[in-house]
Amino acid sequence: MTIFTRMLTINKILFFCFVALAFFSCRKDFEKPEWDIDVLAPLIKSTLTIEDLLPDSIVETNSDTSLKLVYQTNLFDIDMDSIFKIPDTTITEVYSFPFSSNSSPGSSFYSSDEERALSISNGVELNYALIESGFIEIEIFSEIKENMIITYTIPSATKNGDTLELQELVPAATISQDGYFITTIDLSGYDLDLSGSTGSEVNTFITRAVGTVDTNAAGPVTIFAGTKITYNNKLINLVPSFVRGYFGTQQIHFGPDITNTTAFDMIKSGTLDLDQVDVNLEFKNGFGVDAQLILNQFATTNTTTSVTNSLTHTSIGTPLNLNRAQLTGGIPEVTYTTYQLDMNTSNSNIDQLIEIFPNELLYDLNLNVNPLGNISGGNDFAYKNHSLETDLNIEFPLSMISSGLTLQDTVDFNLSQDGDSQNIIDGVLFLYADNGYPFDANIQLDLYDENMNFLQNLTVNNYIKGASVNAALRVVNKKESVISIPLTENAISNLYATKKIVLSIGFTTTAQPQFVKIYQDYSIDIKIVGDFSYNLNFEE
Amino acid sequence: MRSIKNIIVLLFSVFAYLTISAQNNIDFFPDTTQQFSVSLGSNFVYGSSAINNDFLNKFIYGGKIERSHKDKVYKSLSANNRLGGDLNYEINVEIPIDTLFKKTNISLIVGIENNEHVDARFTSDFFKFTFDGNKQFAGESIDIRGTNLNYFKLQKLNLGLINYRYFDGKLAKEGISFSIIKAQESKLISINEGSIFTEEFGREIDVELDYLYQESDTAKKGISAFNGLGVSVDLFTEFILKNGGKIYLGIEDLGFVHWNSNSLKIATDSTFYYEGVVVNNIFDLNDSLVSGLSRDSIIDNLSTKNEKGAYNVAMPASVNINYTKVLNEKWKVNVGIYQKILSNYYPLISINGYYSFNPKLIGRLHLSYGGYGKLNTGLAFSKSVKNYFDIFIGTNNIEAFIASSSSYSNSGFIGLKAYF
Repeated sequence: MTIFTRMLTINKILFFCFVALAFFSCRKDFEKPEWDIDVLAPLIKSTLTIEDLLPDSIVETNSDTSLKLVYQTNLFDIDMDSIFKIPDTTITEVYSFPFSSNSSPGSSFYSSDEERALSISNGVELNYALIESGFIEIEIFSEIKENMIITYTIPSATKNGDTLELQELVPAATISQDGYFITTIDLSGYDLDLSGSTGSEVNTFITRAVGTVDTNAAGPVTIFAGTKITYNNKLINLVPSFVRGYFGTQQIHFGPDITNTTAFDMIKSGTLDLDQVDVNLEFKNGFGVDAQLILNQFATTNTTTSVTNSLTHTSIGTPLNLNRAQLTGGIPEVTYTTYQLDMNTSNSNIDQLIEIFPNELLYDLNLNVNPLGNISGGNDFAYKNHSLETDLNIEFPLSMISSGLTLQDTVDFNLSQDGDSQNIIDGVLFLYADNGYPFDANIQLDLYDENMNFLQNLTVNNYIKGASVNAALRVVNKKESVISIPLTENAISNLYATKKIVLSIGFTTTAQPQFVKIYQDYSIDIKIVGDFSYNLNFEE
Repeated sequence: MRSIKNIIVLLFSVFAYLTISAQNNIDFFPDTTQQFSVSLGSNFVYGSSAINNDFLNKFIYGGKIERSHKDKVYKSLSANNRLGGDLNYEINVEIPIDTLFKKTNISLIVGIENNEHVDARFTSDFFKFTFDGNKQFAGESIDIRGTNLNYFKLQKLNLGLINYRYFDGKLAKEGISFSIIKAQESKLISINEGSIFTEEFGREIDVELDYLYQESDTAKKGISAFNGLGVSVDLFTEFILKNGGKIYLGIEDLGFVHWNSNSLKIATDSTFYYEGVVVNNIFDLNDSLVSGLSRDSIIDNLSTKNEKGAYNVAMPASVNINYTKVLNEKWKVNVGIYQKILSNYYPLISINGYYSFNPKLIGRLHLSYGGYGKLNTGLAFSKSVKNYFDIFIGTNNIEAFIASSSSYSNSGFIGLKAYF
């Protein structure tokens, strides 16, 4: 083969390789197709009962299968620390040597027992406390010119039968500076006997200190008359879980104070006339002390409409006697005593307090502790976890007249799932309703973005018609309605930007002016159908 | 809304694999004695019995399919419609063997191929539903029974022998080629029974469905995916007739592919009623809608069997018979029939006229009917360059470039053969 022929062959191979590469690399990924379709499809099916419309309420059934709403909330609690507190206290003990003496290493040179009084508020006299949390800080200053060992004991404080005892080395004093020692002890779980050395005192605890010359001292130490050892006992953040004693005769005023309620948060407007309202105020005394409660005022407020209604009832201003709770010796530790105050539309204006759809409950009261004095012989008690509780129980049968009573809630919404582009072009939402409730319902849909900026409200043509009632004011047949919600291209664009929909439904009872009851078997069947032009686009 | 989209996305896959693929092409290179050569080629063909090229081109190459595109297709739809296509790349080396079993006219063929194939059958309703939605069928049933799809993509390693025989100085070849198949991707849909009923006001959609969907390992895609193994064989022979004409008989792709046990199988034979996503709390509908209208949720609802397992698929084997007659120094004609079995293909009857402009340049006119489309008219050229290269390029569907709205197939092929 000549050089020329060989070069020609190499050139052919190179040319062939070039063409082959070009050949197989020419295929491209094409653009994806798209087209529009018209879709008619059911989107949502739901059967709504009154529980669905009022999701935060408890609905109970009366014997005639009519429904009633039950709402329970805690109005206020009076805790142990409303009756007394153990303030942070510093108790200082100073031992001054009366005469000069020599003490050898290892020999005790003084012993001191002291009784100290706690300062407890409101004149409360405790003889026992079980500490839930808190600390005692012990600080010792010594003027003795030798190391010494201090054994510090609080005989009043025991835990699992062991007395609180501390044995520590306090360094020798110098010419210019006292020997100094400080430590903090956690008192959680300690029993504090506050009855003193005689067992008949109150708010008193005992301390004992014993001093010994350090066994490692070089030799006997001379303690001159007037030399002092000072102890500072600091009680810090003491919180008892249980106390016993005499809580004194106290008059405590609470309020006016406000408790917020969300029971009617969903109701935004309209009027409601309730046929009957039953309210029960229940006072539950968990303290081992007799008490007298005077309800000075009870009112409800709707801060949106600025309407406040005060309760008119014989209990207002009348002392209510609450007997003391009893110890059980087990779990739970106490048996509560209760006092119930019943109010209804016959003996009060309680319905007016409810019909304003309050979001605030206002109360003002006096509490007299031990109105009869120390009749327990110092055996009043209180647990931190058992207080004086006041619960508000509201029941009203769903027998009502409502006009435009509007429930409103904010619904999370996200049409752009899975990274979908804006495929819906335009269309109409159809809502088919079979209404078994005796009320008309008007729907309003307001669209908001993620920052709750208003985008638009959707036009809603027609309303859900209420079912007719018979002579017994009972629904016999459901009423069919069709509602259309046109979705223009602009509305669709806003829907894709929507992250919250404020859904408002206004209810107006039929058969007015008569009250209509809501029965257990009432429901509304809803089906939402989408009739849309839709762009199918298969771009990734 | 999303549910309908997802249903259509599932059904769309019947069309989505209408990419491109190959149809038989007559050998352009002049008959010659055995010689060491390397040839490479690529061809595509796609077509439909009902969908014109305007629509197909939009579908394949992208862009907005407009109302006018759909309306034209509607006029051509029948109860049962077909579409299909192939795209092939191949490179083959022919190595003359001096003696094999004491035969001196044998060449060894070694080559690799990349094949992508799709074929489908669909009803008129199916097409209208897919491309116009279900609203037009309010109060009626959409008939989708008999719809099927077969899509695969695979690579072949070919090894064969060609025997060169001479009768009265005329060359006739015969050959056999075995292929080991590396299976890349497969999707099969078969809807034996199927209807979708939309209630007059859209308040209910009833689906009756007996279908089987199979797909190769969904976790492995792309050219490196090895999701199955197969074998196939190609056979051909040529006879010289007394009048000097030549008969060609060939069978291609006679074989099967075994898709491995990681393949997916979804099937059902049941009836479903859809009345919307059930929402128990109207004030908390978003989560319900998201979960209820997800693609997985819809597949779950439309599946009574959803499992992994191997499956076997026969290759769409083809049979090719044609007759070639050299009329004079300038003209040669060829008539033939070509059929692909198991692939929704109609027999393709063709006639080709070859004209030699000079010894180095040949032109070919093509006329055929059948296959995935209807009438096909083609034009191709083959050029020999200094005895080193033969090049051919052409199409069997020149009408696709001239009158795309009234033609139903498209194809193209290009090839190069180098002699060493």
